[in-house]
Amino acid sequence: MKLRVLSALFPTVLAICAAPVQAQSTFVYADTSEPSTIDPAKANANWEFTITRNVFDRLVNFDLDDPAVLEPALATEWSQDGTTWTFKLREGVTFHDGTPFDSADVKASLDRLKELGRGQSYLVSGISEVAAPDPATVVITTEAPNVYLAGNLARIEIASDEDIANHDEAWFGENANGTGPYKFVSWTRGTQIELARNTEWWGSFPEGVFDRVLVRVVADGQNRAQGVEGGTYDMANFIPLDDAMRIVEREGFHKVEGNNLWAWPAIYLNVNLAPTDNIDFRSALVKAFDYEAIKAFNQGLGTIPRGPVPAWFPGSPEADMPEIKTDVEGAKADLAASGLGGATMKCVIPNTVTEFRFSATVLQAAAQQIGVTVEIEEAPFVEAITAIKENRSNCFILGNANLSPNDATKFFAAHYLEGGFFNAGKFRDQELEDLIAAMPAEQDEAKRAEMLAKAAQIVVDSHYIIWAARPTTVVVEPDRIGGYRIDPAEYVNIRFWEIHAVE
Amino acid sequence: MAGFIGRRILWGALVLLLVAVITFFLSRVVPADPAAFLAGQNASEETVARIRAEHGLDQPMLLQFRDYATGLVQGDLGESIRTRRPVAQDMAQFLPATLELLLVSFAAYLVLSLSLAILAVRRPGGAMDGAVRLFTMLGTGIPVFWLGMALQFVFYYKLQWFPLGARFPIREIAPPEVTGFLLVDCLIAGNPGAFVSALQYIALPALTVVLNLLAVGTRMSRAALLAERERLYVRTARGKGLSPRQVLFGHMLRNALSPILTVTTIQFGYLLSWVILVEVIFDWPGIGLYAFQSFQVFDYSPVIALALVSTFGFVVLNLLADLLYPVIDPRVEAVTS
Repeated sequence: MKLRVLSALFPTVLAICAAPVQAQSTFVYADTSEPSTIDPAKANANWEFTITRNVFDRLVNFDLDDPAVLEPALATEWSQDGTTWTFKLREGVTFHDGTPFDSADVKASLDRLKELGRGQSYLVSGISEVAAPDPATVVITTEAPNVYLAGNLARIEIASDEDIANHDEAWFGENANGTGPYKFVSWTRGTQIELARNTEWWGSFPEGVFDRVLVRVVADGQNRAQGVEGGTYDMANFIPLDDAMRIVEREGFHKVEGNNLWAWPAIYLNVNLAPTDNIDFRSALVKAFDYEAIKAFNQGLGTIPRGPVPAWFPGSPEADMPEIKTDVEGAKADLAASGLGGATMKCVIPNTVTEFRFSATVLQAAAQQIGVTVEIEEAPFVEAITAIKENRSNCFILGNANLSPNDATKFFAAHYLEGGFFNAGKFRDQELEDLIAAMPAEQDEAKRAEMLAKAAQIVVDSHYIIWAARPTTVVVEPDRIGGYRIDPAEYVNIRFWEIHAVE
Repeated sequence: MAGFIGRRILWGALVLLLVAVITFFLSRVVPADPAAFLAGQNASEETVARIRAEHGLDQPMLLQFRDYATGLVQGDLGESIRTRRPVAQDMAQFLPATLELLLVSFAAYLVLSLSLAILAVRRPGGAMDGAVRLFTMLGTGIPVFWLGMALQFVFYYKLQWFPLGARFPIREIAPPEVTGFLLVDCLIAGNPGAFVSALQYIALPALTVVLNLLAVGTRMSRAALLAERERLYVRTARGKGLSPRQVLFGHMLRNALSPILTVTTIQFGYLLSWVILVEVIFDWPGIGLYAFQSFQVFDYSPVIALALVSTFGFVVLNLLADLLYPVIDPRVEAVTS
């Protein structure tokens, strides 16, 4: 009884003594890490995009519910003619410091991005020239016709040409002057970044939008979960699934579900090292793998991938592809065909992600069922990827997401084409190389879809990858907050300009 | 005495040099490449290689150490790949938060350990002695990370008495930074409400650290006081009619201070380690959290800097303890001079 009285009184006493709460409408978002940079030309991690996506605008946006649909942003119209793209720009837009926005800003931003070659520059690597014939027009020339350019520009933020001329890289690292819905106010290192609503923004805000946003750095997943549950944070990035599912069952919370992951995890098999250099052996592993175990691990949320491109991606062939499911008998037959029964393989896997470890264990158990021994070794990420690249490992594990809303070719280039950084198992197929190179030039959407289907099938048939799962992303949203939508072309991220208080 | 101090400073410098060498080479032995982190997913091999070259990570290890050591003697702790700022600048920003937590915890530890020891020693083997022993053993027996999380669970999640983490209420505006020590800045700003808030925020992290150190501190202080209790001078004092309080505070405590000081110095080293862990648990924006986040992406320089700063702190504290011994017990003067 005494304890109850005490627990009721103690916070009241503290509240009376403590400093008064600010009356402003403030949204507190707990993010996983602190940005290394808020330079739109260098930002590369989702906790950096939390800032850049909200402070800067892009030429176009895309509909989160249908990534195939591009929406006007800083550009109101766009058209392609061969290798030339013309963008008509929105007039009357100003940067947060009051300087007007025009085509010179777009040119300076794209030129800087290409020159630095960092961040998301790979998305627009085919640009050969950017011209600004008049303040309201930008003409972009590409090395080859590229239908995906406008979609990829939906990820490229535009800074001011004056800032680019007057400031060095260090300034851009910790200052942000965009045209976007939120203004950068301050950055207290190690603690938070403060944003304020840009009331002069060209776009519209929903009713109840927040005037002030605080992005807190909360490294620990449990702390983010408890903080959201206790009301310290309004929302948080990456709440562990178990906690998220528990919290959304409580009164006052609901879940927002969506898709953004292409595969999590994906197990890459080394095609240049025995025994995984044998296609029948790889096929045996793909068939033996226990996909349901991973699905159960993900609490039944998500799907079992049929190929590299998820069904919700524009033009995806996934729906027409055959299911990939556990088939131990088929695996044994393939293993017999390979002549490698009783073989031993080694997997050096990154030691940072629980799901990676679990999927390696599942692979080990599945392989054991058909008489193959999998030796697992954990190592830091770079050591793990170096091990497979130097043929000291038969497999590698990674999570897959694609930052472009409609262009799969950049993803294929990084993961399945020769020279791609994440093509760890050194897969190479000339037909696939040709298809991916030709796809951006194809104007006919149906033919592009056909090419993507062919490309996906080549990767599936090679048995280069075991796509262990494509889990659904679950985000916890309190009932007093609304507007959160999962970005399908991002690791988990947030559009503050859509978030609002709910009565 | 001057020679003694000079020798200790030289010894301290040597320790710092050794720590710098060991941590530098250990960090290079770890097979990790922060360039890949900076480059991100979908980066090409060329981009990763360029970033590696930009940060000198493609240079031979000895060459990297030469550059690092040259910078170090000029006060340059290198640059953080994660924050892209000089490590010295980062450390200057985050150190006050750590020092504040350290000093508050240390003060609380001193007061609590001595108070509990005095309580226990009043009747050795009695109920209070047993209770103190049980309480302190429990605090020390529980791992610090678990204790921190348990305190958060009880006092934030269940009771809502104390905040989850951080240094100040998130939705409020902190007083202007003058010293970096938030409690002091609140007082400078003449804002007692903010001071109370800041105290609320430091309470759980400090308590986590203190509870972990309490058993050793209390037991050593208790033992030192008990040993003094049996000395002849205590009997004489009692025989002369001095009250137990006068005997304890006027005579026993002063004589027991030497061993207590030794233990306290050692405990301060543990305190440093615990504070770093506690910063991570409570999102306390000090050098521990900074180094932890840097370590996660194999950003070497902040980790080495943390090792150097904590070693420096330990060396200085040991020196201070050595200087204090003769003050507490003049017989020590002969040894140090």
